[in-house]
Amino acid sequence: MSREFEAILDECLQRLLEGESVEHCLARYPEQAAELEPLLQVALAAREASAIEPRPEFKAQARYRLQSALTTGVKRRQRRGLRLRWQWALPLAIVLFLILAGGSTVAASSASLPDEHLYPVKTRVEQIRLWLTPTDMGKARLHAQFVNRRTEEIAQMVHRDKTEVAVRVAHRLEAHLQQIRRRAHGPGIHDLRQFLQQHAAGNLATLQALEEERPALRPALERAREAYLETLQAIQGGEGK
Amino acid sequence: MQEERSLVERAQRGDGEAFARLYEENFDRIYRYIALRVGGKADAEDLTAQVFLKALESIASFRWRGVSFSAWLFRIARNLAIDQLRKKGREGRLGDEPVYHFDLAAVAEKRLTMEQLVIAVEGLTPAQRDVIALRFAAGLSITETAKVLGKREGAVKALQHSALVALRKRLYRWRNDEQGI
Repeated sequence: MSREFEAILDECLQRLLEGESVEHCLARYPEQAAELEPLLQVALAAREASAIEPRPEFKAQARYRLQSALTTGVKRRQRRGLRLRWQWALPLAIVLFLILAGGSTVAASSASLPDEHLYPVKTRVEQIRLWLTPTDMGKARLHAQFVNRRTEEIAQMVHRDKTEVAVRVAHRLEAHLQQIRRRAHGPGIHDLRQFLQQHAAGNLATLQALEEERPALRPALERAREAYLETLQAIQGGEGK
Repeated sequence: MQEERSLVERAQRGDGEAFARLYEENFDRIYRYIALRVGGKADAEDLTAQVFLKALESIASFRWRGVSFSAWLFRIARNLAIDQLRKKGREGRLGDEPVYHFDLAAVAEKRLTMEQLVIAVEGLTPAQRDVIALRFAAGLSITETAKVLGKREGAVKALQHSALVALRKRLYRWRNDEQGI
C-alpha cells in the first residue's frame, strides 16, 4: 500500500466528512478514482449507519447519575477532613513519636510530592498503615489506594519536569501492584476488584498519555501498565499470585 | 481547543457546570464510538455512562500535555470497551460468519444499518475496528485518532486504508454469498 495513496485517501475522507461529495474527490484525483471510489462509498455508509442518537431517556438518566456523583463528591470532600483525622490517628501518633516532630509536619506530609522534603514522612506513614493492618486482604486494599496516589504523583512529577523521580515512583507503583497480586485472596476480593476496576480506566489512560509525552519514561510506564493489566486479570480470576 | 482547556481547568477545580459542558460536548460521539466498538445497546449505554463517571473520578490527574481532554476521554472509553470485550471473550477474535446479507448497491446508497455495520466490523482486527469507530462513528480527525490510539498519524492512515479495504471485501463477500457466486 503506497503512502501516497493513503494520504490521498485520507484527504478525500476528511473532505467527505466535512460535506464534500464523492464525485468532487474523484475529480480531484482521476488516476486513483477507480481505487478510491469503493473505499469512499464504504466510509460514507459507515458514517451514515453509525450516526445514531442515544435514547433521550438514557441520556437524561446518565446526566442524573453524573450529577449525583458530582454532589456526592463535594459532600465527601467536606467530610473527608474529619474522617481522615480519625483513620490516621494511630499511625500519625506513632510517626510523631518516631520522628519527634510537630503534628503539623506529619499532617502536611500527606499532600507532599516525591520531590518534596516531607515525602519520606508520607511513605513512612503508608508503611506504618500497612504494618498495622493485620490481614492480607486489608493490606491489598491499602496497596490499591496507594496505586492511585502513585499514579497522581507520576503525573505531578512529569508536570514538574522531574523525569527521574517519575521513574522511581513508577517502580513503586509496580511494587504496589505486585503486592496486590500476592495478597489479594479470600473474602473481600469482590470489593477490591470493584475498587481497582473503578480506577483502572482513568489511571491507565493517564499513564499512557504520560508515556507518549515523555519517551524517557516509556520503559518504566509500560512495565507499570503491564503490571496493572496483569493485576486486573489476576483479580478478575479471583486469584492473587 | 482553548475553550475546552478552560472548561477542563474549571472542572478540575470542582466546577460542576464546566464538567457538565464537557459531558454534553462529548457524550454523543463517545456513545457512537462505544456502540460500534462493542455492539449492543445495553452495553453501549452502560459503558458510556461509566466513561464519564471515571473521568469525573480521575479528572484531577489529567494533565494537558499533548493529549486533549477529548482524546483522554476516548482512551478511557477504549479501555472500558476492550475490558468489556475481553470479559465476553470477543476481543481479538475475528468475526463469525455474517448474519446479515446486503449488497454494495445498498452500501453505495448508505442504507447500511448500525446492526449490520457492527457485525461487518467484527471481521476486522481490533486496531482496524478502532480506526473505523473513531474516524467514522465518532468523527475524530486522523490527528485525534492517532492520539487516542497512541500511534503515529502515518500508521493510522495505513490502518484506515487496510480497514476500509477489509470492510469492503467483507461486504462484497456477503453480496456474493447471497447471490451464490
